[in-house]
Amino acid sequence: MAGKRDMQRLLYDLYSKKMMVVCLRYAPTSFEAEDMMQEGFVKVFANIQNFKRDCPLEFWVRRIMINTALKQLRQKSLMTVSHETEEAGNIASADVNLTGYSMDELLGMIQSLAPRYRMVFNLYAIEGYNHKEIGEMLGISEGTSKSQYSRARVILQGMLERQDKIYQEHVISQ
Amino acid sequence: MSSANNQKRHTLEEEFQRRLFDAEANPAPDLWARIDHDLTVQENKGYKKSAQFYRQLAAACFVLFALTGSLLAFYYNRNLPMGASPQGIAARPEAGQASLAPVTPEAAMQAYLEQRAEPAGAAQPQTAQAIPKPGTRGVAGSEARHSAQAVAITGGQGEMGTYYNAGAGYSPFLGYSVAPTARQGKGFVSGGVPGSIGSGINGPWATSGNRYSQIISWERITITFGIESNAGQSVPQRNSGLAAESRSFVEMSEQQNAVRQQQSQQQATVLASTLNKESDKAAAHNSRDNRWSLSLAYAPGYFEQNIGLPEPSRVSSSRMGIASSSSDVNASQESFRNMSAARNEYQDMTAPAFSYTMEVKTGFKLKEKLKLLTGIGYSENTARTKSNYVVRQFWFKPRTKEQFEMSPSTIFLSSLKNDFASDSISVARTGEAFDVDYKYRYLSIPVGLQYEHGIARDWFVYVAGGVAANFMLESSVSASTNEVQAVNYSPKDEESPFRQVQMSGNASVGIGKRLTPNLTLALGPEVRNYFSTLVADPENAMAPQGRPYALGLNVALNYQLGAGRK
Repeated sequence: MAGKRDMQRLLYDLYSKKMMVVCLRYAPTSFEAEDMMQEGFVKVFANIQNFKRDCPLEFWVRRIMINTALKQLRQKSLMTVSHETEEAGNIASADVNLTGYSMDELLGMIQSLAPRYRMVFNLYAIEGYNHKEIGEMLGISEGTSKSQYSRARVILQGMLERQDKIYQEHVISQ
Repeated sequence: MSSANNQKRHTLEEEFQRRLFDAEANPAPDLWARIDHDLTVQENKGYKKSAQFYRQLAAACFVLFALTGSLLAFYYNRNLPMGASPQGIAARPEAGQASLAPVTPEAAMQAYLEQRAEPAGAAQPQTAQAIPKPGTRGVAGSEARHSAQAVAITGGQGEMGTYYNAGAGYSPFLGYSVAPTARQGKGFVSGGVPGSIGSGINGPWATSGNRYSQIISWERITITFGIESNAGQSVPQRNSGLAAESRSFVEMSEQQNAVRQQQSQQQATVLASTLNKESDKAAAHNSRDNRWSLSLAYAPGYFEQNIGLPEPSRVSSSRMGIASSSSDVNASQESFRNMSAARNEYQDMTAPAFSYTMEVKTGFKLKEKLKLLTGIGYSENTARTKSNYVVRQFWFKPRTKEQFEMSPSTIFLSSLKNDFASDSISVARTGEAFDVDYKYRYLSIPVGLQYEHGIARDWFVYVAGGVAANFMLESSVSASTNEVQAVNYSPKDEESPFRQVQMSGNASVGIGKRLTPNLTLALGPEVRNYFSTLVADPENAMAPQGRPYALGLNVALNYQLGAGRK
């Protein structure tokens, strides 16, 4: 048993830092992110015998973390099912450079989004799912997923523009 | 056209993905400790789960044996006699006290004749030697005390007596008493010559040379005097009024015989009465023997597991269809349609397979018509579905959309849980229909009541009801095709979604026939309803869960212990 626990600790040490960021992207606070990660790793260890070695272990662990996050948010009713079909306005596709932003600033922006926007944005922009897949994962329509993503994107762009303006004013004043 | 409809990824998405996808952050230092604690709790839960099963089994066995033991104790206590010490004939001295055995009347008479033959002077030391002492002539101290008390009745002259019998409830002329009382059990026959050494008997008749004998028992005191015409000396006339009339031994013997006959008749009457009582008691004893019976019951029947399939919309809202849709836009819709078809198929095609229950029970008749039954049983509940659909579950690799498929399973099995499982579910139609068998095996401990009412000489009707604790021995879901993974859960299997211990209630009504005085056959429909769902955690199951039930035909053979009914 002690040996088994040591191996579990090794696995935890290997992926905990990456998974912490995954959870931080989905959770509104770091406390909830830790709860997600705790539950996620318990599931990983409880179901490790189901891992078929047909995909990278990191991907398998990441998927469990994401599904755990979705489940927790669903249980907390943070992901209200919406059937919005309203189209978002045109979004400028101007080049964006996030090099000047720290990871905490970027995570802060994502965490400040409404839960349903945050979910859709994470799944689409960072995880790489398309809107149909996201709609089926979250139990919403594809159109709703697109609409919510557009809103999330607008909000984030607004945040970035405001940050840029503050930065430029700060530089000019100096 | 909005950009949301544009599937092309812009710089914003790429930048966020570049910065955050592989980013790292340090978790809280105590997070591992919390995970470790959770893992420990989870592992202990597994141990507790298996331990709980055995605890419940042990508790059920304990209750069963305690119940049986209590009934046995109750039954045998009722058969114990009210008094601790036996009386009457049973009060005869034990074999170890053979020297105390009462003498027979013939021996008493022989002693009397010997005394008659003895010279008066020689009789004195003999009577003096006949004083009861502990240990002398084998008389125990307690018997000596009783004898001394008996002597006190005659005037406190213990030295005069010769004890012929010190046994309880016995007198040499009456034999053993058959209706003893608290006063019984002391008696002796003595003889002697008044005026001898130590004699305290005074009176006009107590002159030297007058032989007498006294027979003392709890029933009576008989003193007979024989006046000796020793040396031609006649008894003074003045003494004749006081002295008892001298009678011959023949007269006395006849009188005693008459008394003995009368006593014998009384004894026979009492003995007959006692025997009647014993006979009644024996009959009652036999009647109580008949309270116990052994029963073997077999009930084949129809088992309804009462587990549905989830609404297709519920499945699709979470996971269904992603896998197919990656390559085919219509695949998700097809999967949805398949799910609906599979659900209808499940409802239409699920049929009972051969299910049965066997029980070996002990019966105890609480009243004339009411019987308590308990024992041990085994049941095997099965159901079968013919299906054309399998569930395929997938994992996806982000960005590359590479699929990883898990082992296909039946729709039934995949709907029992609602955990993280997979990214998506696809319901696919197979080329050929296959059978899915559901099997649940239980060890059960039933307790119930049965009421029987005779309707003809050898026919009766019965109504029975009871409860049972059912312990899951095995649960399995298997398919007749290799495409679908079969599962088999043992009681210790933590992965099992099924409940390990189920309580159930059963009721039966039917008709019975007495085949022999001891053997009856009962037949009737039986319904057995489980008090909880088959799935241990119905709240988290995708499929609707109901309480299973079984309808069957109860066939029971009952063997009545004891004489049985004639």
